[in-house]
Amino acid sequence: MREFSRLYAELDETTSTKRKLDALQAYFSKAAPENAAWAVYFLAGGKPRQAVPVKLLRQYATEYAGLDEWLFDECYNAVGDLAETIAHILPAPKQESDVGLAEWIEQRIAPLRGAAPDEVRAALFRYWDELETSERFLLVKLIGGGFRVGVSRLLVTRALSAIAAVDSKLVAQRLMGWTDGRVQPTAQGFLQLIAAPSATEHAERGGQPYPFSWHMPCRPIPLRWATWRPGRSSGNTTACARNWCHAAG
Amino acid sequence: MADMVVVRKEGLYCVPGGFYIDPWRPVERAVITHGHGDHARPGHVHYLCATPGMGILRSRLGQINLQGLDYGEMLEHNGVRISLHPAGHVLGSAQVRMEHRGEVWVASGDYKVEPDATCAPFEPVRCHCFITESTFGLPIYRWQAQQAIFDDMNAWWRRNAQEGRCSVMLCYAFGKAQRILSGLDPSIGHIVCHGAVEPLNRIYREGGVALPPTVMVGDVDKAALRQSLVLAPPSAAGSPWIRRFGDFSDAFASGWMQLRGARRRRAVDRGFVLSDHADWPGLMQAIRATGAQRVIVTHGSIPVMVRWLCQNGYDAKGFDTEYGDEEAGEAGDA
Repeated sequence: MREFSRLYAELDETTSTKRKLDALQAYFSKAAPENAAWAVYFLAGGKPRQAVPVKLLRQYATEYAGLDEWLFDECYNAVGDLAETIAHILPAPKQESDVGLAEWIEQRIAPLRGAAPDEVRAALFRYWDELETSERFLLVKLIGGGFRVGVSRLLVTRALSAIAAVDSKLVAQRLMGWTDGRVQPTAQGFLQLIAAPSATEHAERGGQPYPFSWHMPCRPIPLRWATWRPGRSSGNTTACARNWCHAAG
Repeated sequence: MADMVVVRKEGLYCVPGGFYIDPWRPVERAVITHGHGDHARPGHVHYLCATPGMGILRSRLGQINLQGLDYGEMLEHNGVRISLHPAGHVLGSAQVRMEHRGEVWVASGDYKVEPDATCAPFEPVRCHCFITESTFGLPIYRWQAQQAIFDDMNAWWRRNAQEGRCSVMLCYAFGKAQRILSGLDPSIGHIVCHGAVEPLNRIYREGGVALPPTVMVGDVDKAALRQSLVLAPPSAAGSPWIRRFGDFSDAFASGWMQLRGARRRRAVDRGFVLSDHADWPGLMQAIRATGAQRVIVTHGSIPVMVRWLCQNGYDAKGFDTEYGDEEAGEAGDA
């Protein structure tokens, strides 16, 4: 969780695509495959189901922090984000832990779904007690099902292709269906994502379409405003149009 | 007994003493808690401030009729005993203690409780009524120990220097810049100061505060600039002055950087949460330490603090003042 929260902070902090790419590559090149698999899932746009209703998260956080509801509301109004509000109001953690992302998701967060309220409460108190602010923020986002991050799937694809030295189109093809929630991300799945291309890969995986850029069918030609001088056409629209075409050509 | 301090259109007024504290309109007598622009304004006839803050006030307000008072020294005016006590906010910042017929009121000005190397540490003063600021008066504001923040800053600078990129730190020119300076590691590279920061460094050094060596931008060649850290006021962001640093990484240092939204609106690479104001636990600690039963809350989260204090057994109310917030740094004053 610590590594993933550092990555999240780095992605969140910078506006530079290159630095985001560097951060992603640094993470993927050293993360354990089972954790990296979940990281790919979240970064590429996977949306986990909500494990605990927001109302309960809020209630338990208020209780744990020892705040009145009105004071929590004031904090929430200032912050504008529930997970961030909760992360800031909780008292400092009493212990440290470094449990990997996969264990968090599979062993700790998933069992909360449908658990009895008392169990959820005890588990949340225990988890909050071992995480620092940025990790608590991520935890609440992951539990509440509201995780979003400012990188595109394309950037994740580029980072994976760079560390694996595999063509990014192939990585993109392998990523198809990765985030639709039908298959759980696993270490093996991640290793397949970054594996060297093999002759039998296509046959083993079965037919999968190439992920062409369906949503961007063509690029418009930019007009060069600076070279279009309507004043010289002396009101002649044909000449004006000709100028335009010439400029844009 | 009638209130010793009230709000008038000119500012906070000490009724028996006949003087104002940090007035926002020109008055006869003004006690100034510290030199930030929203507290120290021009146009008063007589100024009184803590001795360590005199240099700052003179540099900002020019030739004024200014009297200094050492911390803890007593001065009597119209039967009110006035003394100034360190507020730990910036160099020369003071809390104003007023004693009249056995009743003691303290006006805090701006303060923080964590000691820093650039000014005298906050000193709790026992009183009957405490007038406190509340800039960060919400439980979401809890500061890390400053050494951890300085370590983060140095790590950021070191990494940029290794990658051949200049580091530009935007922060308030008076107080914050010098506090950051005191925590920087000068072995990483040159520390370049903007023209608005350097004169204040000089005043700090003259006041006996140890700061690492700094240079102006013209003193450093282009290659060395890539290893440098630049301290500049927020108003320098996006200016032609800052473009000379080429592909730089920028950061903003302020308590407001605690929130992601504020960091994103700033659109800088890094936000360092470093404030010269007390955080929520700091405010509570300071209020408790005064032993005051009455608390008057000024600039910041007035309704929240008043409600919280009333719930916790204090006799609390708010004062509407015209003090701003230098940490937001919109004007980049100085």
